[in-house]
Amino acid sequence: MIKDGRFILDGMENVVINIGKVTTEEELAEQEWEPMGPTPKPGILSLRNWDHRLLKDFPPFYAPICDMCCLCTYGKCDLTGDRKGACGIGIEAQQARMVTIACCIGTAAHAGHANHVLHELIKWRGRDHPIDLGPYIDVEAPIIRTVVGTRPKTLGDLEEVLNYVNQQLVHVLSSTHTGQEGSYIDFESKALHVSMIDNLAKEVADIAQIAGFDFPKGDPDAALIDFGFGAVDRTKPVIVFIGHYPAVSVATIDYIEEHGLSDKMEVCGICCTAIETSRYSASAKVIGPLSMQQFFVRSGIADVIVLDEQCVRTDLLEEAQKTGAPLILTTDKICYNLPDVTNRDPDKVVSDLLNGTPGVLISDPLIAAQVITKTALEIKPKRDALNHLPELDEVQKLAEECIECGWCDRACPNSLPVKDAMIKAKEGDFGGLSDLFSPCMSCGRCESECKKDLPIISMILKSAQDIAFGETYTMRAGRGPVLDTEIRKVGAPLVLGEIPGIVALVGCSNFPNGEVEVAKIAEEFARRNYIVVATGCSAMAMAMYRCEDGQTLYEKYPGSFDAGGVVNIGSCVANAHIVGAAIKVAAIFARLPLRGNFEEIADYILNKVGACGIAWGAMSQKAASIATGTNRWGIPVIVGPHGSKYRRAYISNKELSEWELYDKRTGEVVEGEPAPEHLMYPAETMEEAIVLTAKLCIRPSDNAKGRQIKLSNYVDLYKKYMGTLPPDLHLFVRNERDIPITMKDEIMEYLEEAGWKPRKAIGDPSRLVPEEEV
Amino acid sequence: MTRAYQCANVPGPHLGKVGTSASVAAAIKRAERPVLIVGSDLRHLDWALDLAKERNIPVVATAHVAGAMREKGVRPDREMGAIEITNLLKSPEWGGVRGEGQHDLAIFTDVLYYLEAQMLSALKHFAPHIKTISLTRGHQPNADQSLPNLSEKKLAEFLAGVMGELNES
Ligand code: SF4
Ligand code: SF4
Ligand code: SF4
Repeated sequence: MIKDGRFILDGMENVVINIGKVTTEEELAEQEWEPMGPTPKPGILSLRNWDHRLLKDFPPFYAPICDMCCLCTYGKCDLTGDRKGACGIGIEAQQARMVTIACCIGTAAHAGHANHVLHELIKWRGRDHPIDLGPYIDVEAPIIRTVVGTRPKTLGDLEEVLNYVNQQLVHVLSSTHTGQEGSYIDFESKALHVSMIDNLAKEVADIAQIAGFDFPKGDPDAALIDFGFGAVDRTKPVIVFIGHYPAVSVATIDYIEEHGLSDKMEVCGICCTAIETSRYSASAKVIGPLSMQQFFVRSGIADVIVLDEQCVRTDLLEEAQKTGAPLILTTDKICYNLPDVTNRDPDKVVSDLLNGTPGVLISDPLIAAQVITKTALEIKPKRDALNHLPELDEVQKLAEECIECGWCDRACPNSLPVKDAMIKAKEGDFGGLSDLFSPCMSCGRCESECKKDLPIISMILKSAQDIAFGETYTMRAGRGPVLDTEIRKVGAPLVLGEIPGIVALVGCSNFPNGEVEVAKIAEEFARRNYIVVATGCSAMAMAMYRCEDGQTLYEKYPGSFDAGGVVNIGSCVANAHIVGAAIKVAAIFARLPLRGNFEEIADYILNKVGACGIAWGAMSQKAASIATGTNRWGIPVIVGPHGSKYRRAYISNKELSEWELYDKRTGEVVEGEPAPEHLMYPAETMEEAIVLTAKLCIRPSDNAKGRQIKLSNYVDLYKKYMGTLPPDLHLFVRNERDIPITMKDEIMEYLEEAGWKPRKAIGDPSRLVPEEEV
Repeated sequence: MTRAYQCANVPGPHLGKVGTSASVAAAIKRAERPVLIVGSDLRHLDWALDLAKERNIPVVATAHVAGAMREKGVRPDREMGAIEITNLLKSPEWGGVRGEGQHDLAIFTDVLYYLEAQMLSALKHFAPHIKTISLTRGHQPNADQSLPNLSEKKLAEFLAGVMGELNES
């Protein structure tokens, strides 16, 4: 038989013969699941037009944090103003170059994690271990489908994706070498490219983890996990895992279970390893986000401290030693000059640790699990005798040593009033120190500057002991991807605006005023029926708060991806599922083909999916690549005020910009609107971020009812915080039908004053040049 | 040498001056089209509003400061983010807060210190047409002129001194 130009032999229907190649039915199905789009495995140049269009509407705004470059030996070069470096680079290109480097580092961290976890899981489960995300997820890897153009079915299939990731990362990083790219716009394009590659790496990592560790597969009712210092039973040996890579904590939980020790030990975590571990076992405790790291170590609660990778304090060996807790390192990323004892008899390693060896490196998770458990069990009684924090009278004595120089306040990233707290503590009033516990990130910069070497973090923690050790919260375990069934339900209302938006609270815990603001932002939008999703340290920070009725956000609001849900998606790598959800709206609701079809999908998201990320405590290079990658897919991101130190924002200039879009229905250029107005924006205060979030969820595709809902939220929030109507309201009212009915009179009056004229809503808004014009 | 208030904030070889009440007042007097940008720290709101009123300087309220101003019965000329006003100030073609032409002096007060440092950096590099003064607590080396590092009491005296100098003319 001849079918589609191929030979199929009778009786051998599974085999198709092409000239020079034999193709199996499976390969054929892979070839035919969707026609291949224009840009499978894009290189740096493939999506450059899209980037340039984004950068036209949202031009980079640079705020150098350093006026110089010291990357090569011509330097230091002064780039202030219109000066150039010896290589010819100017200040704008240098900022874009540094942003590109940050995005490369962030991508490398996620790709390192993905490589690491995938290869470990292939060792554990085999290359053929299936990727099965359960009965409610057919579009299992939306980012891989859209960017790479493949559908991974087994762990082994993910290797091909990582090969592409690794290759693109090399190309982009190489462009930052002295004497390569010189245009800031093209550096930005490269930053966007490598950050999209970061999305891929994260998707690979989390899909591998879900498949290999059997993490929840999008379960809206994932378990509620006990959270906080107070959740830890200190009568038992306590193991804390810090970092992001969960193979060791998973192996330790297995080891503990296999040896019947589950009731006898406490396993807890800080940062994303905490989220991952609680995805594996609901009995694992979450201590909190990164901002709790130094507080918890200083508390001395942990009998063994285990580090894996990313965002871990680099002085933890010294800190752990002060508490008598052995430190176990478990990946090649963090070695701290400690001996690699992976091949030594584990019992001898345990004995060394009990006899004072401060720490070891063990790169095999299964061996590490054994050493960690045995050491914790045996060292616990020895450590019980130790005191880790000063008593309150000792805090007062220490405070008396303070010379009131004020350098602590000036070293503190948030300029917290440490000196005043010390002055109070001298009089036995610990209220000032205790008040610092919530906004303090336990970063230790104040201590490091203090002329009297006062242990300020320990003094704060002791003074706040009732809050720090007394409070227990709950966090819903990271549920992983959004279900196709959920997308089917919310797709239309999201695109039409009737669900006013997806608000994604993501990223690190470098908050300007402590964790509570993230929770307040989440609550504001959950109450207003937005879909609130969270990951990483922000998902944890949100747990450290009680609503007026005493419930945590995770207790009060459902975990489903639906209006009014508060959804913990998972760790940093699970951020891929947030972008994935937006992609799935395009695939499932709009039936757009994903395969190798990046531009059309990103254009759809930018113009039609009202989503806004908030990285309120963005600190790391990973947060830079997460945000920039999200931007390339057309999703705006607000960062906290510290985010201004990333040096670059993407903001429009509504008083000077033209908002031209295409209407795909007519092929015409039409007058658009600043929706979204910015793509990457550092806000000064939580209140500003809240108001802006409501605005950045507005999209040209909103129908009249949807626009009314979005505007009523924007107006209501603006009034709440600014006491009046928004001064740019006229830009978002296309015609009278868009005006929220309950606000009609006052808005009409405002519009008349503003000289507003009605305009047509755009039928099918797009930023892509219609085909006939190309 | 006076160090930045946030002491690691060392931008590079070109650092602004530590102002005095007299030098700040002189720069304000010299300016043809100054603008006052008031941020969220709200330490000297009354002083800032007095300055604006006395000298007829347009006020931009950043973050959610407009709410606090309205509570005092004051309507700012504009309300927008710190980065939005900075972005407008960068563009030579922008017509200014009151449409009278781009400003020649931007006075920042009480914007969150480190965010303000970044905004001042943007203007230092990309807005040669604008002079900058920071009256936010603590020295800001990216501003053409900013405060020395003062206690609250001394700072109040400094600001009163600025008003005194301005009123003398
Ligand atoms: S440890 Fe806390 S008080 Fe000290 S510098 Fe860091 S945030 Fe500020
Ligand atoms: S740096 Fe140390 S000595 Fe100086 S005020 Fe702060 S706590 Fe006191
Ligand atoms: S800027 Fe960041 S990476 Fe550098 S020393 Fe400070 S905390 Fe560490």
